[in-house]
Amino acid sequence: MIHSVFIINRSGGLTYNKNYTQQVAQLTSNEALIFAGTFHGIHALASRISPALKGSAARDLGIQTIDTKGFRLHCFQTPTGIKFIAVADLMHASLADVLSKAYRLYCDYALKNPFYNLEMPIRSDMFDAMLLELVQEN
Amino acid sequence: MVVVYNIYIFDRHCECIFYSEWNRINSPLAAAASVEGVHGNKELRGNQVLTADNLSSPRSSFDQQAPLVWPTTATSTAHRIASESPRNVAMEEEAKLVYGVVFSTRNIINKLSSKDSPQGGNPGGFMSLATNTYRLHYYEAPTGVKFVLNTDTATTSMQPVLEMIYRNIYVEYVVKNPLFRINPKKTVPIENDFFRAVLNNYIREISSPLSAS
Repeated sequence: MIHSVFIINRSGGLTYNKNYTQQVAQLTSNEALIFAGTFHGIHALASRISPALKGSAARDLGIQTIDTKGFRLHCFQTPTGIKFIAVADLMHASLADVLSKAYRLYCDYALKNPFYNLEMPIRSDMFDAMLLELVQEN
Repeated sequence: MVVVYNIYIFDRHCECIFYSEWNRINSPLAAAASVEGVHGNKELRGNQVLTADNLSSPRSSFDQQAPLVWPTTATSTAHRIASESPRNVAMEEEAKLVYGVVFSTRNIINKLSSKDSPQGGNPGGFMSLATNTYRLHYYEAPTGVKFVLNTDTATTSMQPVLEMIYRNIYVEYVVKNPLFRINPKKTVPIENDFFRAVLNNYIREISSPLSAS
């Protein structure tokens, strides 16, 4: 079950945020922005502190999952630097495929909208509906 | 088999009080050790003597090597007072980054799980963080001492291991040491050879190919 979805643009701003269940905290818009900025920072730092590998040998060195007692947070970073984050229960080992489907929806319903400004919050009913459908499938 | 890369211990004043590493590729300590030369060698030999008693049989060449540790040694205390602390800046900077990552992660997890409290602590239950090259495991003791252990990505849960390190190694050898000061004004790094030797043996044990986990 997916509790919530966040989309963070490449400069660390929050462009999309939706809760699907009541099981995680309902962040206020200010808290959600803080979350996006903080996550953007630790994602970048996590690759700097790697004890195993540094440099360009491996792509996408940032955070993939964060495990906690109550939920698991999954992150998928696109080649253009947009981060798709899903907070889900502990049943899913990986949500990379679901998040890449969300990326496809983003391309179709947000980017192809001629009135959409890049890096700005996504306000599209079609995107909301399609994402909801995707979340409910999982 | 668990591949353990390194461990950091932070006190409640956010300072790194202990660091040790095992299978690390890019080490800030290795660079410093080669510069310090003689001093580094002395330290390695000292550790080998201690571990040799506890290892009944030489299992592999892997076991023969003592890990690199920070702060450098008890034997170096005199040296430190004499020459105004030889600091390892690369090491300290890295420890700060690691602390920043775990501290911020813990805070956003607390927020997300709506268990945020002004006392801090880890009520949200942050356990680990994975990238595609390593997995960082986090354990926070009730007193605010934080343990950070980096392993390979395949190792999913190290919570029991970290709890064991806290309960049976840190408390036994560091806290129960009569010279331990509970609330020092200035951060005191762990310079305790017994603690090091026992921790080293324990890590070697869990990362041995023969171990159950």
